[in-house]
Amino acid sequence: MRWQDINKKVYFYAGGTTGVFVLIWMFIALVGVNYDYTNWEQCVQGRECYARFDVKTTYWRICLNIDDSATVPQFFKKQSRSRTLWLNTSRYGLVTTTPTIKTELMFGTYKSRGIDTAPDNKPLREVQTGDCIERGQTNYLYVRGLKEPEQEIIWKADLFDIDPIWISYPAGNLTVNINSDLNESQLISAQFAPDFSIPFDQLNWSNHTILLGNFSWNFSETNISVKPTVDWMYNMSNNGTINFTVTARLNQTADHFRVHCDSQIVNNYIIQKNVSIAWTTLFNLSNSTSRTINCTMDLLNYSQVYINWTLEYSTPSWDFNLTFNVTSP
Amino acid sequence: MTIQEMSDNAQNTKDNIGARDSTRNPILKRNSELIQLEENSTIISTNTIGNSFILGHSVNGVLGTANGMNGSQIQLGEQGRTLTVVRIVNPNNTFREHFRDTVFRDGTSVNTADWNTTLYRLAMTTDTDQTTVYNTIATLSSIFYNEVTVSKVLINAKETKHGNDIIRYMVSADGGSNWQEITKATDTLLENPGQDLRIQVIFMGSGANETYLENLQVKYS
Repeated sequence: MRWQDINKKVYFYAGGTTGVFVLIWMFIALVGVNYDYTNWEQCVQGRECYARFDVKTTYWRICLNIDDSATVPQFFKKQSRSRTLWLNTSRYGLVTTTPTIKTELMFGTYKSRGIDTAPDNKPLREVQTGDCIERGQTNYLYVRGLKEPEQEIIWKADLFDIDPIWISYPAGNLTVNINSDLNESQLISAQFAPDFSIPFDQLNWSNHTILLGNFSWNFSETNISVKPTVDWMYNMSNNGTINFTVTARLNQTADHFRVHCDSQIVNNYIIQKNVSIAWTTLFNLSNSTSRTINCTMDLLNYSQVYINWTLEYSTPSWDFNLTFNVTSP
Repeated sequence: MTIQEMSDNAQNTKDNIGARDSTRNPILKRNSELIQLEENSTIISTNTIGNSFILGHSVNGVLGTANGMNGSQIQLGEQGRTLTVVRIVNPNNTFREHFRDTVFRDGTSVNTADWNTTLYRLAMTTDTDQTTVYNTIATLSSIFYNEVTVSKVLINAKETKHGNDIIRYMVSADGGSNWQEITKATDTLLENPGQDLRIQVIFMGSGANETYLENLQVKYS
């Protein structure tokens, strides 16, 4: 839009001298205004998301009038012949997101005045009425969004013709490798190896009745390892740029088995945590680091009854899946 | 033209030209082939004639009478015959089972293990689920039966076991009246010596069809 066209559409408040031009328009439509932008797609800690607009204007001086009750950004002029264009906007309203999250317009400032830091290490402060995009130089406006780690945000700025996204990569950054001594294609639950001499030795096999196949046994065993016995089962790697917490869960739980996995290390002692059907926090994993962990299984009161070598009763199987995930701290 | 003829011709050509003879006949070697045969068990049995009709036989040669060899009426065809094993012996007093047939699978006893004649193995079970426990048994019929008393047994087998599964061996030398567990690869004196040797294999574990044994050998004296 040419500035001459804007001047033709100046409106005046009835009781005042301030000329008000009201129009929803984009920066790019203004003559002499160029902009570029940088979107940091991956959010800090999966939550804090930033974008930067680099705006350069050769004709207009654009100043901000912060009105948090404004629902839509609007331009106006205070004086009809002025080359200063005012943008009436809420500091939270310049950007709209899907799904809706809280966003805020911020300005770069000195380090001593900064309340936040952008990914380009620029200190940021809240935007204020009177902040202006000056003619003849590149001006930096920042947008900060706050989202949940699992959210993927599509956002747009009403005044700019862009539609970038903010996402998190916490799950994609976790790599879980199983020990090469184990059978990767097999269910991990099938690789735990109870000591079957415990139930077997409960039976006196020289007993004629037992040899005919009429017997029962019941046994419990804790800290059952996988076979072959390995120092670790999983190698967890954080290949991303953010720290996160590794969590684990089982697809099912039952009274007759429990699964424990290595958790925090306290005084060089590895604490194991019982993994349940809910996500269980295991340990923090810094970016670009790896950790190997082991898991064990308990069998509790596992029993079977045979009559004439036909299985009459059995505790259900310990068939389970162990899944790992991450959350950002 | 045979190789020999080609060689002779080549030498003949060299001789006629007059150059020094450097031709050598190829030496044809015949590879020796060794075929090893394994002698397995010999089963000697008798089979009665029962009440089958036998032409010219003094008793079973008269149709319709009720005084056949087993007391029943003589009938045409094979009737009322009884097969009785009288001897089972093995070369070098060693019984070998490769699980290629079920000759020694005791059909009168419970066999819940998988006698797999396709993969030539005795497996814990045909199942594949390895998150439960199996307790199965295989019973072999007489593997030795003679008028010689067996008092010592040595069992060997190639075992493949999942996890901490166990395979145990039971032996009876008195036709199954008394059983004694023996350890594989250990020469064991029997508490109840006898002349009718039988074996049981007991599996316990979670390996399902991935726990099995092959090439069962029972040496006795």
